[in-house]
Amino acid sequence: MKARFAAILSLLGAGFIAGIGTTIFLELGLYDLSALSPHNELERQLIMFLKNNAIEYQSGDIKAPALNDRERIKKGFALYEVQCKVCHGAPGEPRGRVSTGLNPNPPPLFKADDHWSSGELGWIIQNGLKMAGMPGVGIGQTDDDIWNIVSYVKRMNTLSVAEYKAMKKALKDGVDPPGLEWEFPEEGWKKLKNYSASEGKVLLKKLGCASCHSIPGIKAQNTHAGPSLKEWKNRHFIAGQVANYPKSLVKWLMHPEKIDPTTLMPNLDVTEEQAWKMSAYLMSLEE
Amino acid sequence: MLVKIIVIFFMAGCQVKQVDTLEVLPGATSIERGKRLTFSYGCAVCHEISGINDYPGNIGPSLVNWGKQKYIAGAVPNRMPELILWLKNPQAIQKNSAMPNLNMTEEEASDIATYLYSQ
Repeated sequence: MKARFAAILSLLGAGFIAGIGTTIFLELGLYDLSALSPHNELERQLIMFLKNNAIEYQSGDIKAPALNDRERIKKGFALYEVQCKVCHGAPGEPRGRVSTGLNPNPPPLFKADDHWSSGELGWIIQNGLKMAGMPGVGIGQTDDDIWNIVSYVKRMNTLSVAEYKAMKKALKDGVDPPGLEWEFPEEGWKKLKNYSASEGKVLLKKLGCASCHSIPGIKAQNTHAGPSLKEWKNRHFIAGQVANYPKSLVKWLMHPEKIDPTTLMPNLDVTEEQAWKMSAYLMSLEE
Repeated sequence: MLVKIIVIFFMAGCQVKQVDTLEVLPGATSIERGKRLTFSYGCAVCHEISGINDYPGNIGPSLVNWGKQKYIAGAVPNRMPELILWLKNPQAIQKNSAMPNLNMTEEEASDIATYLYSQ
């Protein structure tokens, strides 16, 4: 009886002290409110945890329409340019002056399709996110407009800087420049499964790739001439210009100079077969 | 957990000072200013950078141990003047770069470069 009484009393005491402490803290204005000062890591992790769970739960039953549609992506692009670019930027273009210094920093959306389902993207754009600076874009717009934006956000996952420039030109001129593909491209993930990652690893070793790039699993005297390729599958851009998916990686490995004329990465005369094998190994590198 | 959160909030509070100037970090070193600017320009939303965590952070190459890197954008030597030029106007070095021109001042670019080399 005595022990239980002591336990309750100390719990109450601890609660009381925590309450007083919090009150003093809030009263004195000691919380660092400057948007130029980052959240500490614990706060940041808590916010991300809450955000991911709330969006997953609250968007539970949303069914997306067919999104890989030329007209949808075109309309979505036009809406994105006016409404979203000011905070989220575009390939090679910054967010606007008005959103510089925002905390949290609005994320670039190139990877959004990897992280969120179509329904979740629709929910986020429609409702916005409290305390994140993300407005509920659904106000004053039809559901169809929202799905058009979702289509384009999904297209951003494979969008190169050159394609983005072509889309801008198409929007301005009202005519598509030759060769511009609005729809999601065939990325080649299925084809990649036919190639051996271990044979690719041998090729990367033989061609001396690791003397410029740090490559997990391949030991070499790395000169740090090129970027590290650790967790390569998760990286978005190749040479800062084209989106990273199997087909584009194969092109880059075969003819780097065709994608970036100023690159120091040499053309090593690799065959298409070899490039697919090397891609199989590089795409196997993730966390 | 709750106690931990309260403690962290107090610790965060301890860094807050009353100021008499608009300067964001009065008396700070170039590295300290650079770190703050690197966060506020959102560099870490695309790049992995020591000391700054942001989301998603895997759009461009990792900048951890940046001082060891030989080249910028696979095109020009990685030295202070070239890095400042790159930060101010990436398209001057790589025409089709996805890295945006963020309209930063010379001083800001210099502080950010100093921070990147200090990692």
